[in-house]
Amino acid sequence: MQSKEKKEKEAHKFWNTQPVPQNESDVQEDGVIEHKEVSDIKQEPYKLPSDFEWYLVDINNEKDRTDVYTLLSQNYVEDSDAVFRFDYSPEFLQWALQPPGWKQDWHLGVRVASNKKIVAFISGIPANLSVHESKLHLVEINFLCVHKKLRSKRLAPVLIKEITRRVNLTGIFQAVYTAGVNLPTPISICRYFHRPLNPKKLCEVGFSQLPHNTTMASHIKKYKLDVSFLNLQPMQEGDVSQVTALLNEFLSQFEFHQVFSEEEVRHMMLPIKDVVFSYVAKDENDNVTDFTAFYSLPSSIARNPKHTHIHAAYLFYYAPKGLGKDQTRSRHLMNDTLILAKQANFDVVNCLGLSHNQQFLDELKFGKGDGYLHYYLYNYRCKTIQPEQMGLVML
Amino acid sequence: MQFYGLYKTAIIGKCNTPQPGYFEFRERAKWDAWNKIDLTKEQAQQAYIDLFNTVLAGQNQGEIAQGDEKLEGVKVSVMTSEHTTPAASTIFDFIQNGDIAKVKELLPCNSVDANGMTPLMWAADGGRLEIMKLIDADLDAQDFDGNTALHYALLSENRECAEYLISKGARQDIINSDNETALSLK
Ligand SMILES: CC(C)(COP(=O)(O)OP(=O)(O)OC[C@H]1O[C@@H](n2cnc3c(N)ncnc32)[C@H](O)[C@@H]1OP(=O)(O)O)[C@@H](O)C(=O)NCCC(=O)NCCS
Repeated sequence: MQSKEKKEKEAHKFWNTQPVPQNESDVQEDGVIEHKEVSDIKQEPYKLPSDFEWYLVDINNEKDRTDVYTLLSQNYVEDSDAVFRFDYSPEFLQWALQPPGWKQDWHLGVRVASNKKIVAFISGIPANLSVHESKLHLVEINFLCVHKKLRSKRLAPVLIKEITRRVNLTGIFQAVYTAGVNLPTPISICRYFHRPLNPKKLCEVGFSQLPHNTTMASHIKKYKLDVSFLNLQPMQEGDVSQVTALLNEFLSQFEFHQVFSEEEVRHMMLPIKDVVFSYVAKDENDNVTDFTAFYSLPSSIARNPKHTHIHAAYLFYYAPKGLGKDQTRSRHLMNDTLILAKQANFDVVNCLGLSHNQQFLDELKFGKGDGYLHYYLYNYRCKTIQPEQMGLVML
Repeated sequence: MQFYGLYKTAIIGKCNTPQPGYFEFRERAKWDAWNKIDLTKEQAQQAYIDLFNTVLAGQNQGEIAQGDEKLEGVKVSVMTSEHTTPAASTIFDFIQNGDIAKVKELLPCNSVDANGMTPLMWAADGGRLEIMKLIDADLDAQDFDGNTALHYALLSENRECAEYLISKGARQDIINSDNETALSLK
């Protein structure tokens, strides 16, 4: 083996064994990497270290839900200084893990055999993507988490292999996942952007800095929102079919995008208090012209005397009248989205620099984040997607 | 290796460690890559993404330094500051930073900054009640925008500072260039 290859093998002991492109030159054209049949898949679960056992979480059971929530809220994704940590609420998890076609078999936990404490988790939900015109029925893998005390023991690879096995047994052989870390091999990297709604609090907790020689008074004024343009109303059951059509049409412009059924839109987009917020604008004939949605993902704040959480609204899916060709309309829709998030008491609106978001980021005073989200596909080669061609937003 | 250098700079900033010994080839090559990058953290972050995008677009394939090191990305994203902050040097800087000792050294002080702001206004704006209590000055002075210290306390949502100024007898009817009085802001 050549020394360079050997070095790479050592560097990703796990990912080098998986059906993912090992580097960018691996990807000449799109397509499945490993062709498998359900009959090829082994029936027995992967072995865990003794003392640990697999446990299928019942997310509709309050105790299980609280246990997973506790694991994530204490051990999930943090910023580089470990001050902010994602704090998905239990209700959020219940919603996020049960879109149409969900399976308890894919809500996979690891427990300590002796005390039944949940110390690791990984999940999958079904989804349909369109990737450079090909349709993929796959799973979105999310909420991978290993308790801080059990890190670096190669538990994550076992979780990934076991969920893959369970998914494969249903005849699905592809997955999409995102991470802050760089693994083999991203199909796209999108930057985070942040739009302060409560600029003073964001400075107080160190989420942003008051620029030198700038007064707090002018900083607050800068981010004031006053005029709204569209008469956005909370989305309702009766809007589901029109929203589905509008959203799919908007998304179909991008090389890489999710494709929604009405059932999925009903589950993912209808408002749920403190979880997901969605709105529509209608014309005089009561037809939906615009759609916008965001979800609530607070971050807990370590060691701050005054504040315990940043209340962040993450921009989810949207579709403006004109599908982005009318840039003013897109900006108006997003301006009004910010106002609604402010009214719902969020401190900041976060989004990624993907799809058409560049049309409004500067004008609406979004600032650059220091985080980047990497998108990956499992068992599928896909030529690089530029951020502005990305139409998938994961929770 | 170009990737590595940009990545390190993007995550940590300019090269800040000593050069590894001559025979530590791998470490040395990595250090050289990092040291070569003369960019700020912010510039390097953009350059990393740009390079990534061009590499993945099919050019520059020889440049990829995959798996050189486990490169941890930032996870919960926070806002990058687009401005660099020079070291504090004026009383206004020290007030903004809440550096009470330095402020004490420089008081009393009758100067105003480039916008006509007094130390009391900066203290009111920054919610520095302790510093306000050290300052003995005209409560109703206005800056070039017509703002008084009380305007600043209210605009920056510092209730306590506003109450303090009012208790000291600050006027509430002065109009600033946005046509706001303290009364209208309360
Ligand atoms: C991500 C996490 C589960 C990894 O566990 P760990 O104990 O650090 O790592 P392990 O020793 O078990 O496994 C290491 C392997 O997992 C891979 N890995 C690490 N993070 C990963 C991620 N987010 N997605 C996929 N693989 C990942 C590593 O690259 C490594 O494989 P390699 O040798 O081929 O490179 C753990 O760090 C964690 O819970 N972090 C906080 C939550 C989080 O970031 N979740 C991921 C959200 S995308």
